[in-house]
Amino acid sequence: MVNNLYLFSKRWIKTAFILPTFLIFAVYTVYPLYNIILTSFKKQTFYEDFGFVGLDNWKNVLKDEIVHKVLWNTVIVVFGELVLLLPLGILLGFLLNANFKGNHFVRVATFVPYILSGVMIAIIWFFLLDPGVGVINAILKHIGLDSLAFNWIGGTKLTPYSVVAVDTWKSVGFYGVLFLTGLKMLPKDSFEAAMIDGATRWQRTFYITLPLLKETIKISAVMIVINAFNSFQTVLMLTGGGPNNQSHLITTLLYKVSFTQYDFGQGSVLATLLFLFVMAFSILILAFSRKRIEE
Amino acid sequence: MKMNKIRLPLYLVAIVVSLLMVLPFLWGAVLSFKDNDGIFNNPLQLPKAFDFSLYKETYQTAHIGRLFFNSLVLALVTSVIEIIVMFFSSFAIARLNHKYNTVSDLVYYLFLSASAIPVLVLLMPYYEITLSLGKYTGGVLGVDSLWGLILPYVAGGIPFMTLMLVGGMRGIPLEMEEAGIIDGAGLLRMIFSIEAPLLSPVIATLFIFSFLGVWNEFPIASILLSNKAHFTIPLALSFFKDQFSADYGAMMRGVVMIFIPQAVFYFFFQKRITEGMVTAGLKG
Amino acid sequence: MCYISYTFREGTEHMKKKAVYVLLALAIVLLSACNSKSNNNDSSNASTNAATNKDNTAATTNDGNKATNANADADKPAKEVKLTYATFIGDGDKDMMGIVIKEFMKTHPNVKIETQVYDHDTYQQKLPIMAQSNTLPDLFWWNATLITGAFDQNHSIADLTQYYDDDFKAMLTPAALVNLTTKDGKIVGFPAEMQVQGWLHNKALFDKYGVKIPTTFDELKDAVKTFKQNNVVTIAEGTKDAWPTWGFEDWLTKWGIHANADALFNANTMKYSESDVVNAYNAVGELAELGAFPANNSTMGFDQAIALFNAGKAAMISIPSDQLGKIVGTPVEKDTEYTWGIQFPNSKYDQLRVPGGVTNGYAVSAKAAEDPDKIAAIVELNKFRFTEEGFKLSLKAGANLPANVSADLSEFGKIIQDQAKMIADPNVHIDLTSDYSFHLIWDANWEAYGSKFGTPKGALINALIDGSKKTKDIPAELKKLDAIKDQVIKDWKANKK
Repeated sequence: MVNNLYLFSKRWIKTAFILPTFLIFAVYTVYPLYNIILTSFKKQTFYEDFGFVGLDNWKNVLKDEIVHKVLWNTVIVVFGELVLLLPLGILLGFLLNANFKGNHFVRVATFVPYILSGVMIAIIWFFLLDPGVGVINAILKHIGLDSLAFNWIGGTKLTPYSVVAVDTWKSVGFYGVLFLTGLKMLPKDSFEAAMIDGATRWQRTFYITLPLLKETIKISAVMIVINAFNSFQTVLMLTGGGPNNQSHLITTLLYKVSFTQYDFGQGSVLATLLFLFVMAFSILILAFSRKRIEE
Repeated sequence: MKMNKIRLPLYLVAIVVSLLMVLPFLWGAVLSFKDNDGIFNNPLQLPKAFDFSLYKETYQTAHIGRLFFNSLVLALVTSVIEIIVMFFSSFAIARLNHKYNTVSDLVYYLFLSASAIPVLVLLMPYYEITLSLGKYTGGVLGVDSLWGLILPYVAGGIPFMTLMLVGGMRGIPLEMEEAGIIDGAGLLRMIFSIEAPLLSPVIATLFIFSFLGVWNEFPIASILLSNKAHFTIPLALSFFKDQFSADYGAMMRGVVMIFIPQAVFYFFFQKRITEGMVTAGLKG
Repeated sequence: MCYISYTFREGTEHMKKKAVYVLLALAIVLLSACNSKSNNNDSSNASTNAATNKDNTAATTNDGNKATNANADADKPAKEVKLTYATFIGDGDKDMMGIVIKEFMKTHPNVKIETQVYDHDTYQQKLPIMAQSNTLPDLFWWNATLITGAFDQNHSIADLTQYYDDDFKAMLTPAALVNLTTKDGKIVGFPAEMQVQGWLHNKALFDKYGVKIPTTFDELKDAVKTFKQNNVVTIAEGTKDAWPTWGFEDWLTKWGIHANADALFNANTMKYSESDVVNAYNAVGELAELGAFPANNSTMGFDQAIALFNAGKAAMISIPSDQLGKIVGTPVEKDTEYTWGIQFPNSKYDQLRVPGGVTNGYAVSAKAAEDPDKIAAIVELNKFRFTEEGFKLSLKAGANLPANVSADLSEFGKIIQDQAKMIADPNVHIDLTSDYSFHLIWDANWEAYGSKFGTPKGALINALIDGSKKTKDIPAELKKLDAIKDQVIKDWKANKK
């Protein structure tokens, strides 16, 4: 179909329209990315640039056992949020779609954390999760369940899982509304046909609703993964990466290396790693879901 | 009849979910009346008194009013600039094409691909870019200026904005535009009196998202701003915390004072957010 | 406009360019307009780089106005002097300079000092940049080593030697100027407080459980055992922040890190893992395994540790002098006993060497020193700090000045008086030249705040305290530090100027 606006499609008008966005994009996305990748091969601090050092930074970072632990933590957070946030988002979507009194309140209550700054969410959760001063363990000990009072944060193991919980708590309302919208847009007729065929409620949900929500699920999965890789403030406020850097994520470690130790070289390696991971995961999810659709 | 059976579990679930969401905030509000000693040594003890004068004091030490003002101005200015700039670029991508256009497609996917780049990746160069930009703009767009945050924030909005706007524009039937051309409308008139009104729900949603994004952004603000007079809302906690000490009760008071206006804001705009999502065809 | 160019189909190159210019101009106008509206009260930023730009009228006029105002004021008989002072301490009542400034402005109404407060980390980032671009605040707090380093590199910091007349020097203790003096003998700052790191003991708890206040490591271990049995934390120590373990860095000194500094950090003839400092790390590990530290200390900040001590739940705390204010006035204050900490009798190194000194100072920008009124006011302000009144004002912020003042301290309570006595103790060797981060030999700017070696060196102490590393891990961890040390020394020698 010929677009009738071709009359306006003089090249210079188009260029002038796109140029501002393109310039901003070039300066704030393309250049930094190039700069980061370049810097990862340099010895550079906040104060001085000592030039290229080949693969030194990469070797140092990749053989550092803290980095291994941090990569593992990041993987836990990404998979954890995918596994927890996606089903909970769908379930919340169903709940919000149901017709009951107080529906409105549930929607507001679940969405509100999403609009508050992550730093503030994290500081609230610090006083819930902390093994020493947090209310969760204080209550568990109070009612004699000392054996359940784990080191939710501050130990060497559980912090990434706590990050999953906090991030899920923060964003579940958003994905709930996303799925609610998806549910509202579903065509009515396929349900009616299924009702006539005598399909049970669960059958309808599994064989009709969920497949119809496929697009929403796919998009949510990509968003969840990208946001999970971006998770930053939660760890920063909960543990600051401690003990002994054991609970860092790539983001927080890269922030620490770059902006408190000012080692831009190694910081750039971590940034590049983070970039590669996110790209790989996004492509994987998209490829995987495309394959499923083709089947 | 069948409905009644599922009613009770539904309500139970709804109540449990609501409690899970609300209780942490309530606990935060309780802590806001305690001091460090009470918070650390008697975690479960309720505050001795609900002294609201503490709030007044915190409001002043953290300059909460200033924080709100800074964030409000920054979020408004950024969102407006972002939408204007990207409305034009999206229009060019979606509409200013001869048949199929490779360039448009290329630019479109280029812009979208940035959504997979975490901001932390780009953070380090931002400092230097902003520093040098400051030199050319008399410090206006430089480090430690509120306005220095605008361009990085606009850049951060490119993928989502482009996706939503291009999607929305492609959804507008060409007949509308044809009619306009027959009426002799020029390009700008076409944009402002046909495209923009038709897209107003999308624009409203984008405005809210952009606004919230700026409002809550932490990493970029934390490295580009250092003078406390320019701080935005997410940096508020640093008023209660310096290198060597932290007042956690005051921190919680700050959180409460920042939380309440935002909750009220959402309460009034929540319909818009949901509506806009539908319009944009759930592409985001 | 776009429409017009469409009608004239020969829309030329000229028009193309024009459209782009218009867009750019629009953006600039929009931004500068916004700036002039709401950024009026912000002097630091508008003046920073205004001179370099001619296009931005908003910012330059803003700046220009200010300049003409100042000139006009200078002609008036009152001789109003406007100064900027930068700090990272937000609360004016906790900043010793802030308190003094408040009083000073009362007696000198013509002097207006505007305080700029920065976040600590960004403050440390910004100052080197400001020093390079010669846009420093008139008066500002900084680490002494960084002040001298910046002075040596570029002369954006004022040489204050000529203002130190004999009367002024007589007001100061010998320690005051050691770190603020450059290699060629120039004094480039006014001393900040006398920083010492001592140990506070809750004597009531020691008495209650019949434990002696420890003077040696063995006594400390015995104390830990008794306290552990009674569910009392021996040492209130949180490891969420890196810095509160400075008290344990003192043990590194007692095991020879300073005595061997040259072999360790310059000649590089001694491996860190084979030096005697191993004993200091072992001591910390041993204490941790005995249960000397609070459980869950890895999410515990310094304030939480203080709260523990103040609530009488912990027997000891290592505390730098600028943090004493957090204990002054609490119920435990009267029960405290303040010492320089334990000794290691089987160590061959000086056990009376204790960490302390004037490690920070207030520097003046070279620009401010060119203005005779400004520098006169700054010097007068700093001389006022070392009078009895200024000394007491500073003490209100918990800062003990290196001043030769015999002030009556009875109004300040037990801890402050104890500290003054400790500092006056002629037997101890207060280490005047080193600071806690041990920029022992390496140039300040090389190691400062990047602290490639310093950070992991301290992090190991934290890791031992929070239990993520055990005593048995120490040899392997120190081997890693060896490798880092080799690398840093290699890089440093390669880049030495």
